[in-house]
Amino acid sequence: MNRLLVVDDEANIRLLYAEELADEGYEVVTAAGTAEAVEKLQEGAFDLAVLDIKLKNESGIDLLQKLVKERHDMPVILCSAFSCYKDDFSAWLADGYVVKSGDLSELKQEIARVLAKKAQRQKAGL
Amino acid sequence: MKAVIMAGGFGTRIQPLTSSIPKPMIPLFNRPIMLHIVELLKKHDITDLVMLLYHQPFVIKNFFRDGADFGVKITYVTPLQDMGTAGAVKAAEKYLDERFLVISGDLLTDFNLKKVIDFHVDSKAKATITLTSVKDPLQFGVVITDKEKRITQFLEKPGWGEVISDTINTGIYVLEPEILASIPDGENFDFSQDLFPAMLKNREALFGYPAKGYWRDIGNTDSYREAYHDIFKGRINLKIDEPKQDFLGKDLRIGADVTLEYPTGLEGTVVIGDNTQVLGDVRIKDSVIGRNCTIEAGVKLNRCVLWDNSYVKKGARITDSVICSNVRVGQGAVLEEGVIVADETSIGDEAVIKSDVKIWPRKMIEAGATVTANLIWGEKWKKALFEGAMIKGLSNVELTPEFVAKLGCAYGTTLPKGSYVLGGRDCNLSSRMLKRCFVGGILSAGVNVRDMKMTPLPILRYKLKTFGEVGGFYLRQALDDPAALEIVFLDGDGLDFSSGMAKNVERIYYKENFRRAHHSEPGAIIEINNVVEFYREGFLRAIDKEALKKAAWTVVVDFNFSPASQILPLILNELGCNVIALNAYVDEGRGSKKALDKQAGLNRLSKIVASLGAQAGFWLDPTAEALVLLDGSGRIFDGVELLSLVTALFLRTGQKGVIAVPVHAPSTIEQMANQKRCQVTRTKSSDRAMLEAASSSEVILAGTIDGRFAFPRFQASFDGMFAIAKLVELGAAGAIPFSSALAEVPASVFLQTSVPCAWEMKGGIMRKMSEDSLDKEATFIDGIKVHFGDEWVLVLPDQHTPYAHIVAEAKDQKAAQRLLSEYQKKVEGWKKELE
Repeated sequence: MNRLLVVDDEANIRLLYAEELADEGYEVVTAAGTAEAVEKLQEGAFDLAVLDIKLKNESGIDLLQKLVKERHDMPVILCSAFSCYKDDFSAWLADGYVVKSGDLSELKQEIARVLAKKAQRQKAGL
Repeated sequence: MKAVIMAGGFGTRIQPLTSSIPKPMIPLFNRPIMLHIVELLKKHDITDLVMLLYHQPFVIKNFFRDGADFGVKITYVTPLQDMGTAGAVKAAEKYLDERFLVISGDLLTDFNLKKVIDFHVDSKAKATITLTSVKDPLQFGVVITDKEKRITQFLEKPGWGEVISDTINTGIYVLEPEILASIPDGENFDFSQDLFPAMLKNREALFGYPAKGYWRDIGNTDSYREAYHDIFKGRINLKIDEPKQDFLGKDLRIGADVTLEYPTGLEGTVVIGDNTQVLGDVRIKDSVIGRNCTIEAGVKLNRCVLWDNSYVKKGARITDSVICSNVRVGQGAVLEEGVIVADETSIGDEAVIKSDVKIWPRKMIEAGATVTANLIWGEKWKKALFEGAMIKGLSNVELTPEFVAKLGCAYGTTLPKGSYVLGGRDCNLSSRMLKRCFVGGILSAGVNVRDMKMTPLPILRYKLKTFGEVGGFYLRQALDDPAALEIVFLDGDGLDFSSGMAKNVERIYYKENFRRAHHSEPGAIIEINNVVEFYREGFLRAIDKEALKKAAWTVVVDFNFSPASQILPLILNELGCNVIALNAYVDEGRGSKKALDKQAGLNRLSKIVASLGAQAGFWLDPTAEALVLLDGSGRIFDGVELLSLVTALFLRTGQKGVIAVPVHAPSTIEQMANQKRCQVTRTKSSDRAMLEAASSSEVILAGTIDGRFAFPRFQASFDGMFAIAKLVELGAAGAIPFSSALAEVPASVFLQTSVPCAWEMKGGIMRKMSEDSLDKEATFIDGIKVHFGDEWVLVLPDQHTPYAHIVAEAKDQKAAQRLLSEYQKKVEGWKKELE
C-alpha cells in the first residue's frame, strides 16, 4: 500500500483528502505545516507527498526545496488553489501540479500517474 | 499569303512541362502543339511561314528545318531580346511585304482561317482580330464591336464587375503590311496593349471577326490536360499520326512496331506511339502513350498522357496525369488526378503522388513515399520524414514555411487539445523563421506553445522533466551542413521521440488528417521566463561546489556561438572557475554562423590552453550537447578516448551504480567498471535508447563515443555544459593530470569503418552476418556483435543512411585491423551475392 503525506493548513481539507485518498487504497498521513511535515517524515518513509503552497505564514515551495534536497526519491505534487505558481520556477521542482478543486479526481489521477512513473523508474533500475 | 507563328514564349505558366522543351514543342497527341498550327495553316493554303523564335530556338529549328517535310516553307526570325508581340513581328518586317496572318504557336483551334481572311478583305480592314466567346473571359482581353464588326472598345483582363462581353481576342490576326510602319523599331510593343488601342484611337480600320469552332490557349498544365479531355470527347478533330485500328467500338490509334498483348483492356480513345510495348493485361482508357514506352501488366491508366521513353511498372495506377519523357513509375505506384511528372524522374515502388502535385525534372521519389506537395528543387522525397527523433532538410528548400507549418499541425494533432508544448531554437535565423511557422501549425491544432526562444537544448530538456508540458521541440542548424536545419522532437520527459511517436506524426501528415481548432480556441503562445534560473539552481545542487571553488581552475571554452555562452560562464564563475570564453557571442542580426571547422578550432584551442597555462580546455559543439576535452598541455581527448577517460575519472569518485554505453563502445569500459564493482549496461546506438537507459535510477553515468555525456543525478540527458563542470570537478578532485587518468584505462585498439550498403540490402547483409555468426559467441542488442575472447567485431546497419558500420576492438593495432578487414571483406562479398 502506498503511503502518502498530505500537507495542508486547512483541517477540513486534510480530512477530505485523507478520507478520499484512503478510499483509493492509500495510507494517508496528514500534516498542518512545515514543522509537522518534517516531524512525520522523520517518523517513517512516504511514497509521495501532496503539498499545499500557502501554509499560513509558511511557503509550501520552501518545503518542496527542502524535500527535493533531502528526499529526492519521494515525488511531490503541489496542490494549490492558485494556478499562478505554475509559472514560479521554484515550483517546477515538483513532479506534478494540481489546481485545488472540490472534485478530487484530477488529484487522484495525478497521484496515480506520478506513482506509476516512480514504479517504472524503479523497475527499470533493477 | 504568309503567316507569322509566334513561338517565342518561355512557357513559365506551364512548367514543369516546359522544363526541357519550348512551349510550342510540347506534344499534343504525340506531335508538337505547333505542328497542329502548321497543319491548320496548310489546310487553308498558307504555306509560306515566318516563325518568330526566342526561347530555345534550336529545338524548334531542328524539328521543322526548312519546312519541306511538312509541305511548307519556313523562314526563322530570332529577335535578340523580348520585343513584345508586335515588336517581334516588326523584327520580321523584311519578310512581310504582303497581307499576313499572325497566330500563336501554342493554340489548339480548328477555326476556318479562310473565312477570317475573307472577312478582312471584304471589310477593307487594316487589321482584323479573330474573336471567340468563352465562359470565363477574366484572363483574356475582352473586345467589343459594333454591328459592322468594327472594334469599339478593349478591356484587358477585366474583373467580373467590368465584364461587358464574353467575346475575347484569340491572338489570331490578319494584318496589312503597312501596319508595320506604326510599330516602333527596337521597342517592346504589344498588339493588344499598344498597337490596337492606338489604331482604335486613330479611328483606323480595325475589325473583329467572331469565329466559330474550337479554340483553347494551352497556357497552363490544367489547360493542357483539358485540351486532351476535349479531344477525347470529340470537341475538336485533330490529326493523329498513329493509324486507326479496326476494333469495333474502340478508337485505337496504334503506331509502328507496337506490342499490344491484350487489346481488350483498352477503352475510349487510346493512342500508342511507335515501338511502345504494352505487356500483359492492362486497363487503359482515353490515354495517349508516346514512343518507346513500356507499360507492364496490371497497369491502369485513365485519361493519362505519357510522353516518350517512359516505363510504367506492374500494377501502377495513374489517373488524369501527365508523365513527361524518360520517367520511371514504380511497381504499384499511385498517381492521383492532376499530377504532372517532369522528365527523367523516378517514382519508387508503391509510392503515392497526391492530387495536383507537380514534380520537377530529375527527382527521385523513394519507394513507399507519399508526396503531398510540389517537389521543385530538392532531389528526393523521402519515404519517412523522420531520421530518428528529428526531421532534417535544406532550410527553405526542403523545409519550407508551408511544409513546416503543416508539420506543426500534424504534431499538434497528436497531442491533447489545450495541452502545452515547450519550444526553443538555436541562434540561427532560419531556425527562427521556421520555428514561427512550426508554432503556427501547432497553434492551429488547438495546442499551446510555451516559448523558450533561443536556448541551449539541454536547458529545454531540463524544463521538460518538470510538469506542465506534454512535449517539446527544438530547431537548430545541422552540424554537418550549414544549409540544413533539424527539428528535434521531444516527449513530455525531454526524451527524444520514439519511433512510434514519429510514425504517428508522419501518418497524420501524409493523410492530412489534421485537427483544426475552432476559431475561438486556437492555441496560445506563452513566453516562459526563469528557466535558466531553474536550470542553474539544479546545476549547482548537483555539483561539488566546494571542490571546484578550492581548485579555482582556469578553463578555456570554445562555445562555437552557442547560446550556452550566455549561461555557462556565469555558472562556472560562481563555482570559482576563471573562464576564458571563445566564440562566445550569438548575434542573430548577422545571420547564421557556420560552425567553425572542428579540427582547426581544436588546434587553435590547444595552443590557447597551453599558452595561457589553463588547467583545461573544452570545445562545446553548437548544440551544447557534445564536447571535446583538452588538458593543460593542450592534448586533445575526444571520441572513444574521452569516453574512457571520463569513465576512469568518474569511477575514481567511488560512486556505485551502472554505467550506460552504446553497444559499440570499447570493452575497456567493462574492465574498468568491474574493478570498481560497478556494472555496465549496453544500449542500442540510438539517442533515445541511451537516454532511456540514463533515466533508470541505477545509472550514474551515460556516455557515447562522440563526446556526449549524461549525469543522471542532474539530468538524464546529454548536457555539454554540465559535463564541462563535472569534468572540472572530477579533474580537480583527482588531483592528477588527465593524461595520467587515461593511463589507468586498459590498453586496447578500437577501429571503425563504414561500407556503402543500399537500403534493400541491409536485411540481407544482416541475415548473412547472422548465419556467419551461428557457431560464434554473438550479441544482438543493435546489429550483430561477435566476440573472440577479448576481441570483438560489430556489424551495424545505419538507421538513416545507406551504410553499414563495422567496428572492431582488439589488444593491438594489427589484430584490430585484421578483424576489421576480415569483416569488411565479408560484407563486400555478401553485397555481391545479394546483387
